[in-house]
Amino acid sequence: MKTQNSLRNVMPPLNQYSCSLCAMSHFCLPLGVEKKDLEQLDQLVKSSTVFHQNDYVFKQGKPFSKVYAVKAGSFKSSRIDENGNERVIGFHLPGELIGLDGIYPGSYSTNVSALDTASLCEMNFDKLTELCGEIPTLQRQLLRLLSRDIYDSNVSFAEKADQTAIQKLAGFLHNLSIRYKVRGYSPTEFNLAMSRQDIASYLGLTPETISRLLKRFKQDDILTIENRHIQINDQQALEDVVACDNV
Amino acid sequence: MSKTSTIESSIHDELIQKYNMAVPRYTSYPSAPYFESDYSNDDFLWDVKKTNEPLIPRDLSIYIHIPFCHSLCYFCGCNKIVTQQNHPKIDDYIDSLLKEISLRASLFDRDRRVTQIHFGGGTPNFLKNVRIAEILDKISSEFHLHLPSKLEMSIEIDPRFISVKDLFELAKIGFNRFSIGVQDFSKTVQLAVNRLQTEKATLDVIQAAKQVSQSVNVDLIIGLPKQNKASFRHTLEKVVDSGVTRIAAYNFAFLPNAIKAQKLINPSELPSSDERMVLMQMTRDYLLDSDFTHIGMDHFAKKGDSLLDALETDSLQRNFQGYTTHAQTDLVGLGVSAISHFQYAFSQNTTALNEYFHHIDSNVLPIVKGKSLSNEDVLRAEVIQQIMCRDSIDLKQLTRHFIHSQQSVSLGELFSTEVSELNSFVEDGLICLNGAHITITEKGRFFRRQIASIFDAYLQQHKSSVSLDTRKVIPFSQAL
Repeated sequence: MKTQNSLRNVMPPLNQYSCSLCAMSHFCLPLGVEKKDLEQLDQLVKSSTVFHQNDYVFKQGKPFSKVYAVKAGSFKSSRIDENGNERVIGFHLPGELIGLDGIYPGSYSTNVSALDTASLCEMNFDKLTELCGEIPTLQRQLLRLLSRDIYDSNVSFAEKADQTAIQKLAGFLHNLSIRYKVRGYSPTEFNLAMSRQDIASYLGLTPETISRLLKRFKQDDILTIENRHIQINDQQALEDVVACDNV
Repeated sequence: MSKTSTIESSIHDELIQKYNMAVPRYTSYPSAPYFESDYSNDDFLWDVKKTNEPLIPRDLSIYIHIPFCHSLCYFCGCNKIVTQQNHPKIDDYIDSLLKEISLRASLFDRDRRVTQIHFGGGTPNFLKNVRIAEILDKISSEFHLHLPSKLEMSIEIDPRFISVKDLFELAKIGFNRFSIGVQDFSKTVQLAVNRLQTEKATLDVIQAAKQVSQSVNVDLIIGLPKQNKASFRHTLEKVVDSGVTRIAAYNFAFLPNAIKAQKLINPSELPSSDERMVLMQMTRDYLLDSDFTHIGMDHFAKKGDSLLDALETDSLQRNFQGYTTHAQTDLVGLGVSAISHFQYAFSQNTTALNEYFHHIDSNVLPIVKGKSLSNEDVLRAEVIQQIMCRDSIDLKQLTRHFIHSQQSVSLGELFSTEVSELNSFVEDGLICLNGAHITITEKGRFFRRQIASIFDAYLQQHKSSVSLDTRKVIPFSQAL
């Protein structure tokens, strides 16, 4: 009983979430925001329900009203192309924002669904912009995050065109490794929440190519793979593959 | 290998007697009697889904069961139906089989490659070649086949009912491995089991198979009625001289209460257990002297055969068809009585033809029993698989992953009883035990199933429920 009471003092009420206590605060929206201002952000942020694998956050075409930050687990965004096929656009890890693409057209341009058991923080976009007017550091961080998305898509757009399949896959794994590292997770050992079909769709390859190339990484002892679990044994070799297709 | 060395490495009667115990053949673990009858279609769908999930999914093997036979062999314990070649139920069966292929194929992700197709029976060559081709066409349109050069296609052949021309045609359709049923060339034995086949006709089929395939297997059976040393020696000589690359010399299991056909065998004509032992020893000695290597249990392979390469490179596997060279695959069983096997599940189709038709007609998979496996089942299955297929088994290596995921268990707690029980095999020179490392000696290969049975939790449970367990237990941790 005693433990429960003391926990209640520390933990925020279930329905609310405190940015100041969040492990992701050092690269999500709260970065640089002063402690007294964070309370205002806390009031704006609503904690979502728990999503299970394949649950949708929103679907393509839904009117835009909120942006989301991944709190735990991971999500994928995808679009349905003109042939009715699903094309995976991106994967979202804790601390990353979802739904920013809806600001310009006024509706969400992708489907976003959970890859595993996951949760989000919801923010009403109008209220968030209002708050940005009051807290310049918040505005700056929001713009930074927007800019990062633009930057990432620029870089990959230029490079993706002439990358070979193995470079794309090595780059994908290397990128994930860095993102995990930043979040304080192991950069060399992680579970891939996305299926090989999702990875294939994201990289514009076939699922067979993904498993064939992974088999090659495994044979060359660059990776150890068990089910969905990946262990990077030779980070340097992986980076070498990205830089130049000479494996 | 010289005569003397063979005699020295012969297996003595006392050993065979000592380890003459009822243990499964470990074509699966848990073995089939432990499958559960409440395993449903939904369970199967869930288990298939799990096989699709890994980043590098396993390749697929397909097994097709053709239950029909021209006549009844009295020793046979397989699922079979003796019938006329033009019986209408044969067309019905093929129709259902084609439908089952579609039903099953749709469950597997499209990038799952098929690397092995095996036709067993019954008598697969009961079907005309065009019907076999029809089944293969369906498989290749519904599943994703590996390149022809990487696809192993095998078929069991009853040499009494195939012409050389038909066999060549099967090779043209794509079959590249043939397994030919010989059992025993002695006419007296053949009469006693109702399976007459002349030496000449059988050897012609073997020669034809050799012309079109790198690997030809012959099945023999030890322990048939009226079998004797001289006549079986003759059979062995003929088979070895024919140039086959694999020989399986099965030990006949006489179970007339479970297998109806065997009631037609006169028990007084069966060799005594001493005579049977002599036959087993002679077979092993003769084959080892004839440039064959003992793979395990009843299987022997000649130098150059891929099975031997697999043993030497630690890539040998065991499945429902016996030993195989392929990396671990998920097995999809099609047809009446067929078993499917994934890493985490087994399931078996009904053995009754009418029930099979009924299920397929209503678009339901004809699964009647099966078992989803626990992590411990899978670990024990791996240990048993290695004992059946390898000469060197590192328990520490095998259990590392398991212990990692079940933090409370240590290797010592996990297999302490088992390792102390292995001492008897060490004393008899069948294995060497160094900490958690088991090495199986050449003699030990004969007793793989008995060694493996130590790790069979279901069997051990059964045993200990019969008699009180009084074994002295040395903690495994001390052995490490």
